[in-house]
Amino acid sequence: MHHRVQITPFTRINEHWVFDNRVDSSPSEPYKDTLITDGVDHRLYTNIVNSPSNWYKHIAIDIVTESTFNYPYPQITEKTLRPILCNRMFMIVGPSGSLAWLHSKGFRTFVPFINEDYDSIQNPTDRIITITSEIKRLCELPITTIKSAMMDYADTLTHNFNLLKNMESIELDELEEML
Amino acid sequence: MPNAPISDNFRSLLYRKFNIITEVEIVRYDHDFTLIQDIVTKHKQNIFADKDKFLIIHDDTDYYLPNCPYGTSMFNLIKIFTELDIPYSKILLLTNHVGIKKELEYLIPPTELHHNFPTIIDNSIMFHVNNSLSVSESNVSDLDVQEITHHAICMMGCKRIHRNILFNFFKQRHLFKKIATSYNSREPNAS
Repeated sequence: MHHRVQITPFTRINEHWVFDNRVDSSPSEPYKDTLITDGVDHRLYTNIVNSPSNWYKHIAIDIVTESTFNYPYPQITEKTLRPILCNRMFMIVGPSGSLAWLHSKGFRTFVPFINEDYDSIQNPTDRIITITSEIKRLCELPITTIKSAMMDYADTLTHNFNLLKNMESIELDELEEML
Repeated sequence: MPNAPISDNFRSLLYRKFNIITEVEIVRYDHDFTLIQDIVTKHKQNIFADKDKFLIIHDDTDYYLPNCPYGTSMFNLIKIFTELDIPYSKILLLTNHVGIKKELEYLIPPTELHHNFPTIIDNSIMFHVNNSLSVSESNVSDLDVQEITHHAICMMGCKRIHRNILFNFFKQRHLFKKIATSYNSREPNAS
């Protein structure tokens, strides 16, 4: 009889890595900006797209915090699809290689306006420090510069939206061939 | 029997290509793997046809012990098939863990790797019904920057360490005026 491992739901891969005093990982109280409308389920980007208040139009970059960070695989979820569907630029606070995985699927990202070097950094602490440095740099730019960058990347945003709309068909064709 | 969150089009293709014996969504049972064992046992056959497959959906976070090259879900899944003496090739693994094959290569005996290996589909974004439905329901929106007031948005659901770090960074750097932020604000089960 083989021993079977039962892990409690509280044991997550993410929880064994940050014992590094370069970052503050202490827990925080719940928080919500007033811009983010009550009653909107953050997880369902269609609600955001179709929300009567449509508050997503007030922002330029979605800082996507994926479900995992210190994880052996890119894990793209609905959180990353949200800015693509909403024509917004994005960064992914997720496993190393997440942007590379999107590139392999044909999506384009926002170099050089956004420094995406973080995506190839394996060490989780180094990676999140690089991410926060880039967020700080972006936030120091005037909002007019951010708006201008969005227009500069209009073709990329449109390409990503159209690609995502066709992605199911593309993947089904690939799967049909693979199987 | 179909109960996993797979898009209709993906399910249709998989059922056309294979004889799906049953569907198992790991996240529903990863608190107690004997439940998966019970399901697989219930569907065990003395002889399997070539196209018979257990469709295993692995789209949620796995648990990794430090320095262990495989997650506990994959470990337990392979152990179940080993204990029940069911060929690993009867597993059809649908996952968003890109590159998970290497875990199974650790877990399956070397003598079995070439002729008795699961079928893995790990390169799809759209197999999940939530992704598929949301994309199909979304409409093209104009690229209008006139109403942009914030540099960024950061919506974070349940508490995770990387989200703690990010939230604390925003707070300490006084970035909430530029980054509309929410963290763990209303959905206790949000992922």
